[in-house]
Amino acid sequence: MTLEMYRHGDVGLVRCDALPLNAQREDPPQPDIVLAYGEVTGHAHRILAPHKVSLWNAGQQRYILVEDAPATLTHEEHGPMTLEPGVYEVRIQREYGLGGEIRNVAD
Amino acid sequence: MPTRKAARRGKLERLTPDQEALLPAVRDEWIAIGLDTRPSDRPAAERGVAEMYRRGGLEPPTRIVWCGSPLSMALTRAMVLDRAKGRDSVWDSVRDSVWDSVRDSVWDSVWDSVRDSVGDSVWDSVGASVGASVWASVWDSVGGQHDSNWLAHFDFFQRIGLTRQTEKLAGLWQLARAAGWALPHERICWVSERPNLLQLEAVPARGPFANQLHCEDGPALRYPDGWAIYSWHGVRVNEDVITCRPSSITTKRILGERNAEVARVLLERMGAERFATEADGAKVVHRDIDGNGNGSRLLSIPMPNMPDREARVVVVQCPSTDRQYVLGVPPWVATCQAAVAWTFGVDEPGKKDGELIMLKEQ
Repeated sequence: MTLEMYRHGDVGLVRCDALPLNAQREDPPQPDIVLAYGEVTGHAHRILAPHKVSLWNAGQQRYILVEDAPATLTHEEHGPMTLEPGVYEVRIQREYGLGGEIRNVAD
Repeated sequence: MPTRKAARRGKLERLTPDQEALLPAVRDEWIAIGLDTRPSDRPAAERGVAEMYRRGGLEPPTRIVWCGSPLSMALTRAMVLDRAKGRDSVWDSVRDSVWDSVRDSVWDSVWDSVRDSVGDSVWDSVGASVGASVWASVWDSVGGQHDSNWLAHFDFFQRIGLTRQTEKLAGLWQLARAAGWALPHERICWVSERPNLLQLEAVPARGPFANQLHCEDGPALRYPDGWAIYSWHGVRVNEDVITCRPSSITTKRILGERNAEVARVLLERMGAERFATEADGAKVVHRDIDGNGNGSRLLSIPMPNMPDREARVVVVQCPSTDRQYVLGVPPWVATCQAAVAWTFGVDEPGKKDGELIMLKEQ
C-alpha cells in the first residue's frame, strides 16, 4: 500500500478522491476545527476560520472536506500548512509500546 | 439633540500619535504586572476585591481569605463549598458588558490594532505561558494578574478616555495589580498570593514577547505555599523528570513513558546520542536521510523481559522544531521509512513494508 501524506507534527493527512459513502458530518464543539490536542503542552492542530471546512466520520476514520478555498492548518510549534480544496483522511500518529500495545502518540 | 450629540461623538476611528505612543507603555506595564513575583499588596488587593463586587452589582464579601497559591485557594474553596457560583454568573458578565460597550465605541481597526499591540503581546508574555499553566490546575477563577492580557486591552481604552465604558473593571484592575488569582463567592472571596518564583525563557520564533516556562534544575513557577509547576521548554512535567540526575534516566524509562512529549524531555535530558549508543546492546538496524535532510535511525534494543524480546524504535527529527523524537514501532519493521509509515497506520496485513510518500512536512 502506498500512501501520499501531508504531515503536520503527529497528524498525518492522506489525500482521498472522495468521502466514503457512509461518512457522517460531525458538528465541531467549537468554532475552530481541532484535529488533535497536546495533553501536556495544551497545543492543538487547528484549522482556522473553517467556514468552508467540515469534519466527517466513517466508522473509526475521520475526514476533513475543504471546499472552494484553501484552508490553513496551524499549531503553536509547527509552521502553518495550506490545504488545497479536497478530501483528507486524518491519521493520528501511533506508537508501539514495549508490551506490544498500540497507542496514539500523545504529545 | 441627543442624536446630534451621538453623531458628533461618534466612534473612535483612529488613534492619535499620542495615543499610539501610549500602546507600548500600557503593554509593558501589564506584562510587568502579569510576571510580578513580589508578595501581594494585601490592603490594596482587598480594596480591589470590594470594588470588584460593587462594580459587579454585588455586596462586598464579609470575609477575604488569603491563600498561598491558586491551588490551595481552589482546594480550600472546594472544601467549604460545592462548586459555588462565582465567576460564571458575575465576572464573565462584567467582562462581557465592558467588552460590548468598548466594542461599540471604537472601530474595528482601532480595536484590532490595540489588541495586536497590547493584548496579544501581553498574552504571549504572560497568558500563554504562566496563565495557561495555572489555569490547567485552577479553572473557574478570576485570573487576577494572569488576566493581564485582556485587562491591559481595556486599560488602554480607559486611559484614552473610554472611562464610562470600562468603569466596571476598576476593581479587577486593582486586584490584578496587587495579588494573584481570586475566587469570588457570595460572602467570601478567596485570594491567592502571587508566585514567588518564575523562570521563563523567551521564544523569539513565536513573537517578540513570547515566553515559556522553563527551568532545568527546579520549579519554573512556585507559590509561597510550595505549590510548584515544573516545565521543560514549555512542556509541563512531573518534578522528578526535572530533578532526577540525567545519568539516572534509562532507555527503559523513556520507552515506557506514555506521553511522547514527556519521553522527549527525558530523551533530551539523557541525550539522544547517549540513548542510541549507550542503550544496552542497541543495534542500528537502518539509517536514512529523510526528505528534509535530517538523519533518522532505526534501533533495536534487547529487552529480554518484554514480549517481543526487543524494543524497536525509530529516532526522527521534527522538521519544524528540530527536536528529536523516539517512537516505538513493531519488531518486524525493517527501514526508517517503513517505521514512520507504520506510525501513520500503514500496516496492511499480507504486505510486508508499507510505503509512505511524504508530500510535505511541517
